[in-house]
Amino acid sequence: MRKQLAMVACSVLLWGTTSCGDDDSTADTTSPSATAEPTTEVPAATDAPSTTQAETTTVVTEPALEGTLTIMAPGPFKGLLEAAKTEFEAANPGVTIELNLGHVPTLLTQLEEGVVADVLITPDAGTMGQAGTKGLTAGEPAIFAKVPMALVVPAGNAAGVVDVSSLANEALRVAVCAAELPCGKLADQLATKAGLVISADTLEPGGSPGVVTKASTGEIDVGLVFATDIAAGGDKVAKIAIPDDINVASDASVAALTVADDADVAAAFIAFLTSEAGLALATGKGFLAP
Amino acid sequence: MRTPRGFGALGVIAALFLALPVVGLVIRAPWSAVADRLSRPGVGDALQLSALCATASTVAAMVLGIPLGWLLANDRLPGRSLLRAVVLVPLLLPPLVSGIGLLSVLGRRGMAGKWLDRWFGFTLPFSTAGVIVAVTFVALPFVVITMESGFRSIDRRLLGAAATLGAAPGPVTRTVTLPLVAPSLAASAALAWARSLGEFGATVTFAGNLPGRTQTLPLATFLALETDLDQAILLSMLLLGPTVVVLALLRNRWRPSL
Repeated sequence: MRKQLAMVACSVLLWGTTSCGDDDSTADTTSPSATAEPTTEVPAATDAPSTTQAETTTVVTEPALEGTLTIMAPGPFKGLLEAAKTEFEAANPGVTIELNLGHVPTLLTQLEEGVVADVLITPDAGTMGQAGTKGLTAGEPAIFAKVPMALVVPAGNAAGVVDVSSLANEALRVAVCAAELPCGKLADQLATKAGLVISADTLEPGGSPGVVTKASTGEIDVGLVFATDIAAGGDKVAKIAIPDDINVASDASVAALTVADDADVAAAFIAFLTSEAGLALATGKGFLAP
Repeated sequence: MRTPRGFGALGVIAALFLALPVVGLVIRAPWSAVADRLSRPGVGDALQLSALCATASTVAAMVLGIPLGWLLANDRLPGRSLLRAVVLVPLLLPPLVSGIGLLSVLGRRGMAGKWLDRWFGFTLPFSTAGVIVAVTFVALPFVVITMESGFRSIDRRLLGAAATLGAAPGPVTRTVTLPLVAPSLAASAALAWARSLGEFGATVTFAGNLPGRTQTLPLATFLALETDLDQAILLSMLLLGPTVVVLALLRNRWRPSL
C-alpha cells in the first residue's frame, strides 16, 4: 500500500514538473523566434482578425521595452488576456507577461499583504475603486471594455426559459452570483431594473463561472452570469441574451499598481489594452466597447 | 531511542512553520469587536447549520465507516488493497472535484439522482441533506482508516479466548471488541466532526450556497473574504476553536495507519 501511495504521489509530482517544463519550453521557443524578427512582423499565432491594427498601434512603442510584466486579473478573463499576451509579447520581444489569474478579492488581499505585481484588472469599476482607496493602484484606472450580463441555461433548455422573468419563477432552479461579488451586485441592479424578485436556489460563491458550471451539470434551469463566461461551458450550455433596455454591464477596468517594477511596461500594456487593437481582441471574446 | 542529529532543529522549524500562520490569524482577529461581529445577520444561521451538518455527517460516517474499517482489517478479504485505495481516493481529490463527482451520481441528472427526482421529486443539491451528503463523503475516509487501524491493533487471541470461554459473538463484540477499540471510536468521531465542520469545496459544488439552507460557516467565511477580511478571520476562529479542542482531546490516541 505504501508503495502504491508513493507511486501515485510521484506520478502527480512528475506530471506537475513536466507540465511546468512544457510551459517553459513554449515560452523559450516563442521568444527567440520573436527576437529573430524584431521588425513589424507579428507571428501568425494570433487568431484575431485585428493583426494589422495591432502592428500599427504597438509598433509605436519603440525604444524597446524590457522586463517581466505581472498582471493580476480575474480568472474568467483568461481567454482575452492570453490573446493580449501573445500580441503584446510579439510586438515587444523584450517583455514577458506573467498572468496571475484568480479570484479578485483574493488577489487584492495578496496585494495588500505585499505580493508584487504590475497591473491589476478587475471585472468592475467598484472593485478597482476599492483597490484605489487602499492605495494599491497608481494613477487613474481605465475602463477597457464592458461585460454584459446574460442568461445561461443547460443545453436543450428543458425548462423553456425565454427571458429574465424565469429568474423569478419559483418552480425553476435558479442560480445567481453571491451578493458580495461584482456579478451578484449586477444581478441586484438587473432585478430592480426589470422589476423582478429573483427566487434563487443558490447564491454562488464561485461567481459567474460557478453558475455556468451549475448549468453545465444540469443542476439549474437558468442562471444569470457575465456573458463572457458562458463560452467556458462549451456545448453543455446555451446563452440567452438580455435585451439592452433592461440589461446591465460592468466596467472591466485596468490600472497600474503602485508597486510596479517597471511603470513604462505597465503603461504600454494598458495603452495596448485600451487601444483599438485591444478592443478588437475583447469584442472577439464577447466583451462590449466601453 | 536516540534522536538523530539535526532532528531537533528541523522539528522546531516544522512546528513554527505550522504554528505561526495560525498565531498570525489569532493576533489579527478583531477581538475588540467580537460581540458585534458575531451578532451580524447570517453568522448565527451559518454556525447552527454547520453544527447540525457536522454532527449528522459524523453519525453517518461512523455508521458506514465502522463496518468498512472492520472488513478492511481482515487480511483475507479478497480485493482488500483495491478497496483500500478506493477509500483513500477521496482524501487525495480536491474537494471541489469531489463535489462534481457527487453531482454526476446524485445530482438532478446524475446516474442515481435522476431517479430520485423522477420518482420522488426530490433532489439533493441545494438542500441541507445535500450538505450532509457532501460533508460525509469527505469525512468518511478518516473514520474508515482510523477504525481499520483500531481493529488491527486488537489482539485477536483475546476474541478467541472469549469465544473459547463460551461467549456468543454478540457479547464478544459488546464486552471485548468495543472496549478495545473505544479510543479509535472516539478518534474517528472527533476527526470526522472536525473535518466536516471545516468542509468547503464539496459543499459549495454539490449543495450550493443559500443562507439558512446550505450556507455553512466555511462558505460564509469565504464570502466574507470578498468584503471584510476581519470578519472572515473571526469566522475562521469560530472554526478553529472547536477543531483545536478536538485535537487536544485526541492527544496521542490517533496513530495514522498510512
